[in-house]
Amino acid sequence: MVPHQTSVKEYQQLILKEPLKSLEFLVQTMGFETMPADHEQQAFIYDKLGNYFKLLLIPGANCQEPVLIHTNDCLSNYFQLKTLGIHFINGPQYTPQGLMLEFKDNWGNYYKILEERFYEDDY
Amino acid sequence: MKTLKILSNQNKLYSETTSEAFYRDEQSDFSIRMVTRGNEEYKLNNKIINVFPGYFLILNDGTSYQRKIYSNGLSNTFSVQFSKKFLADYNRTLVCDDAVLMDMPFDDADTPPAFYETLYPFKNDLMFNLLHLKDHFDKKVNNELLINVYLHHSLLLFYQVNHKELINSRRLNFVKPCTRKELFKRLNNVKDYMISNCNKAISIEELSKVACLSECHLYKLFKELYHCSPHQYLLKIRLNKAKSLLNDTIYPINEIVGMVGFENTSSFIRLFRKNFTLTPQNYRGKKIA
Repeated sequence: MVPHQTSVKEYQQLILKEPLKSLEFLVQTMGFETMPADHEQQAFIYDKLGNYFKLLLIPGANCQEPVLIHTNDCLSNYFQLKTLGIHFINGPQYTPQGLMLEFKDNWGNYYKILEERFYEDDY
Repeated sequence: MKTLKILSNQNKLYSETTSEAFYRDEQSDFSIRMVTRGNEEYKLNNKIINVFPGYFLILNDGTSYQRKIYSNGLSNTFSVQFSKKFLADYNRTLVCDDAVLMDMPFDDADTPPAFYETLYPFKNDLMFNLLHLKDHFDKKVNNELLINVYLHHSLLLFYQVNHKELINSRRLNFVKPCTRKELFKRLNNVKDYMISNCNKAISIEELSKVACLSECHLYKLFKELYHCSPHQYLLKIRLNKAKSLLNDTIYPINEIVGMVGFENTSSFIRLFRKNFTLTPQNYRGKKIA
């Protein structure tokens, strides 16, 4: 699973209610791994596929904007996260962008997991 | 190589990789059958259907068939088969309201529904889900709960595809539902024939025999249902097959032209560019990049 970002070279700003606990959540529950960073607000994380992300974790109260995490197999994530006790707002939703999951962590941060899918017209 | 997995609810996953196989007297559960490489030929009564990448075939519970695989290289087939009991229960859950389901949670008398045994385009959400399921199956993932998540979603998506087909069938404007149903079935036979034989020259006379309809009647009904002529539909099938061959194989374009039933390369390139705004060469190059 991959947090959405526009460029690997730039920091992706994540406004989170409890940044450190959320980082712990990303690592322990979502399966990301971390690398040492210079500042406590910085986080360098990478997924099992070797995708690397520079995050800037900014404390913010009850951010309404979701943290968008990209994945290549949403149903598998749904199953795995459910077994870990994640409570989803909805079951997997088929949207024009692809298959999507929505959930909140224990600190009220809002996440979306998206498996982007490109649809063909009928013929 | 054949791999079969039977789940505790008697649903099955089956995969086969071979260049040659023949199975004479097979009987099916309700199943969704696809080919990810090469092709597979089915004989259902007197109807012959060729399944290749880009389409899937539906077989109903109890259908007898023959199937054979013949290809230059290896063909890879994958099917998901739903047990009669599971399908009947699933269908009941969709059509009955909660009160009925609570009063009679186990109704063994329910029969599974029957669908049109025809080729459907293998695309969009159903394709993505089934390819993920195949990937887990190939990696020998044994978690039945996970597999069942995919099966439930795939079945639901197939119901949506089937529902859309039924809505489309209403374009055939007949008062008697049985007439509409029969004509829809015949036009499906025509569509399956075109898909299965798209590498050959196909005349409207041949299609008229497949449909048991006069040429003019077939032409009129086909346009009503598909909003294009049989010739235009065949062209779309050929171009889409060419696209899939450009994506998945390294066959030279000259060979692909013959494999999808075009007579000459220049008309193929012109039509491909007109439909997809790229030449076949550029399309393949873009995919590789």
